[in-house]
Amino acid sequence: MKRYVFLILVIFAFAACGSSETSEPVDAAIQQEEIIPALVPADLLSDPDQYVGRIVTLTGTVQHVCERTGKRMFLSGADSPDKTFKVTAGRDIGEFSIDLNGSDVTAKGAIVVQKVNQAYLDNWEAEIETGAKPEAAHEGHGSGKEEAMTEMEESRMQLENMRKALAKSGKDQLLFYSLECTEYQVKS
Amino acid sequence: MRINWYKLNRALHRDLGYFFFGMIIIYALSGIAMNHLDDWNPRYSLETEEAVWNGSRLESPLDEDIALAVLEQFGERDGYKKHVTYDSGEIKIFIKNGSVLINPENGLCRLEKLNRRPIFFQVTFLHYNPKNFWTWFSDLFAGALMIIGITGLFLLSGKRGLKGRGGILAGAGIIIPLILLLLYL
Repeated sequence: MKRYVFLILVIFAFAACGSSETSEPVDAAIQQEEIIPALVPADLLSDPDQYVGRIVTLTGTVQHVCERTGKRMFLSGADSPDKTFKVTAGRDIGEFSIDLNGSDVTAKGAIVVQKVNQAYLDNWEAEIETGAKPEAAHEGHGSGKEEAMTEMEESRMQLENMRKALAKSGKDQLLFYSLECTEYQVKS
Repeated sequence: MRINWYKLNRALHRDLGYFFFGMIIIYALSGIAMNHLDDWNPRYSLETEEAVWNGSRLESPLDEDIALAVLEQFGERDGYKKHVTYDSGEIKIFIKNGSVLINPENGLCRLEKLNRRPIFFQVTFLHYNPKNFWTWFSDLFAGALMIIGITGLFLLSGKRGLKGRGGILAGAGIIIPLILLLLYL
């Protein structure tokens, strides 16, 4: 009996260690509860900078859910299915179900921006060539329509497209915006 | 009270092994599945089917009745959710767990359905860390794995233990990843 009591104590000691860091604030800038309601993808696509770091609610049709991880989906407006905005699954969401494809949803979360420059792309290429698992940060740079490819092919294609886009832009970096979703509702 | 370290070691190894048996299988299976992401999708299998639409002309915006008739060809009429037309002219009909992509120029319709792979879907779902609770439970598991490993070193003494065969095997298991680190890092 004593040994079981000891074992239970050991397990709870680990649990205490594991849970002690979960209350840390993620990002002070994003913690401000200023919720911007009822945006559609076109609003965010036309002027995303003004929303960076702010919490918004975005309504749109799910054009695609990443079937490999379920960690991202792409929302479009009702009349423009080609123009999509990326939504990533926050910690409490877990993942998006592929059942959401074709559904109208409202997603709430903070708008974040990722900067992609030459060094970032070189690092990404090195990861691909060494066979390292790509960082989560690289995921979702594509249109979301490359799922029939293998992961390696998809990464190479996205990298190549990214290099072309960077060269074509004439700038030293590209900016990618997404909504880090903390909750969502299916409307239909 | 004097602690019997041998008994304690054995009890920890045994009970943690029992308790985390399920977790070991989950992470082992999902680990194998995710090591080969380049070769397959462990979460879903893709079912495809093609058909050519010979009915009325497919024009944008597509009438819902025609969309339903297209789905009828695949026996998916009941799964209809909605349909959209892309700038390229292609039409996509969303259905439950999939879609039908239509090329209105030649009437070619391609059904794609995703079916969950039993067991592998569930274990990779857990591997991708679905919720906060899972984070600490898997941290707990990781800590327990270390305890299981360390206590395993001291289960046997003598020639079969660390000073003999056990030591050689443990050393080999450490050297292999070290060699890989030297080669690839």
